[in-house]
Amino acid sequence: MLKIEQLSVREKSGRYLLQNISMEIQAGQVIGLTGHSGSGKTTLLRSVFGMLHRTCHIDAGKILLNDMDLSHLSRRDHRELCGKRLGFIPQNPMTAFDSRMKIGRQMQETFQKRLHLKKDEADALAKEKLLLVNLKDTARILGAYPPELSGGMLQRVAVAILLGMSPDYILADEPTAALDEENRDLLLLIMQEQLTKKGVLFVSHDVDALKMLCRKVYVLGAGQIIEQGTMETLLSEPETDWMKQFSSLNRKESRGDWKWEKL
Amino acid sequence: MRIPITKKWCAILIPAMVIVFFSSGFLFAPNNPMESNLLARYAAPSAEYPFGTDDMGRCILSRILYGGWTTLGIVLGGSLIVFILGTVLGMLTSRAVMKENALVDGLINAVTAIPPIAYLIVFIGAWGSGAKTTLIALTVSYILRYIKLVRTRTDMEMGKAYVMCAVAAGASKLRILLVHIFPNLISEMIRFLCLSCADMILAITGFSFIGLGLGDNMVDWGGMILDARGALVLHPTMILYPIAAVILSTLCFNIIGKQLTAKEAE
Repeated sequence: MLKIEQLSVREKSGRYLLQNISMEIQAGQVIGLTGHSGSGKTTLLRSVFGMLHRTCHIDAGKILLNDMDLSHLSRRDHRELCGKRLGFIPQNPMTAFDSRMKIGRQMQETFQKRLHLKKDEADALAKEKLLLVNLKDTARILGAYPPELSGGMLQRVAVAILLGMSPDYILADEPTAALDEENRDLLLLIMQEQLTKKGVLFVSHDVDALKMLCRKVYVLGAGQIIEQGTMETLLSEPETDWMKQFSSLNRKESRGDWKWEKL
Repeated sequence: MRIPITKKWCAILIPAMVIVFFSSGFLFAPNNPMESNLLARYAAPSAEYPFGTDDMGRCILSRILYGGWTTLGIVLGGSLIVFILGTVLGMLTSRAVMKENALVDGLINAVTAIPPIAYLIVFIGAWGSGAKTTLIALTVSYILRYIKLVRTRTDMEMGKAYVMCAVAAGASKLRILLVHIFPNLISEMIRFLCLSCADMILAITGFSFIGLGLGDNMVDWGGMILDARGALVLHPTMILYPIAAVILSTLCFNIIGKQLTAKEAE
């Protein structure tokens, strides 16, 4: 279980970026996290990975990964966990890969270094996982440089790397934000199918995705959890202003049962 | 598609070959560049002296080739030191490794504000002229600029999303610096070095032209231009050879730098 207890993160200037955040992510559960931009969603992810900017630090609280407190781990110990126990799906897949390295080499080296596999084993694992995320033309993908692939494909490559590393908990930072409709649906489907045993923290503004994947959704506002519950209740009985706006926007969108017609 | 690619490679390879020719051509020099033959002063080009001889009857072709070795030797040697030391120091002082440090920031900004030529004058003033002094002065003056470039670029590269993803996948800082950042910087660093090589050739030639050069027992292009100046009216071809060599080699460095930039822009 990944458990965040009373976490507060403070900037050098004294301003709180996160205040008293508590949440629980159990294996096999997808937890949603939403909130307006600047509310601290990314800061929360960064503090779990131990990647907070130098100007801020964890002021109070704990981040417990199966009773191990991550907030006071050394850089080296934290790194051991990153990738193996904690996985990350980036927001913009187009910038998430080193553009001068072939996808094949990036995948293979990640598996080789982190899972201590031999080169051919790592290669085989890469191919296997690419097939799982519906990238059938493995030879082309592995031989391509990141800019040669589309955002949707790269995002699926990122998921393939995650599947290969098989971390217990996955933090996804708006993984659908940079994707078009078709790729977004494909990614959500893959996440639903492949990540059944993992605990996932799904940061998103995407109502449909949150509805589809998440059992429980937390709403962040100015560094605090202002609302929580299932997406349905949040939308039907919004309490805070932000959630009211969010749900009304969403309703407008879903009301549109009109069609384009050719004149 | 095929022709432009071949063209591009030619545009890099031909200048590179010219530079190699100037820097290693002394191995094939037909005569001893220091051996004077007073019976053959200002000789016209012949089989023995392809470019003719100068005021002391020394073979101009051999002097051009040996001059290329001293000039380009200093330039290329200096660039190599700048490349290796500068890269290491640049990365070490970047914010990825060091904490933000106003002192280091200020110091680097202050020392890079002084033009390289000022360093050369100070060093030559302090230690006298000579190949070693010139090499050290040029290296020091360019390495500071280079460190600043590497440092800034490392910081920029560190801020990119893929670095965060690499950290999230468990990559160490050293690995990120060597495997991801360095290859991403290398083309820009080589470009910078090519352009500064051209500057260095002009600096060395210029200083040796005004007599602050590499010393008496060294042949170099600036010195040759200085010698030829005395016979400018009667034997104008004499001055053309070293000038052509200087122009050609700086042009080649500039072309390589420009071509690498164009490749990058694609």
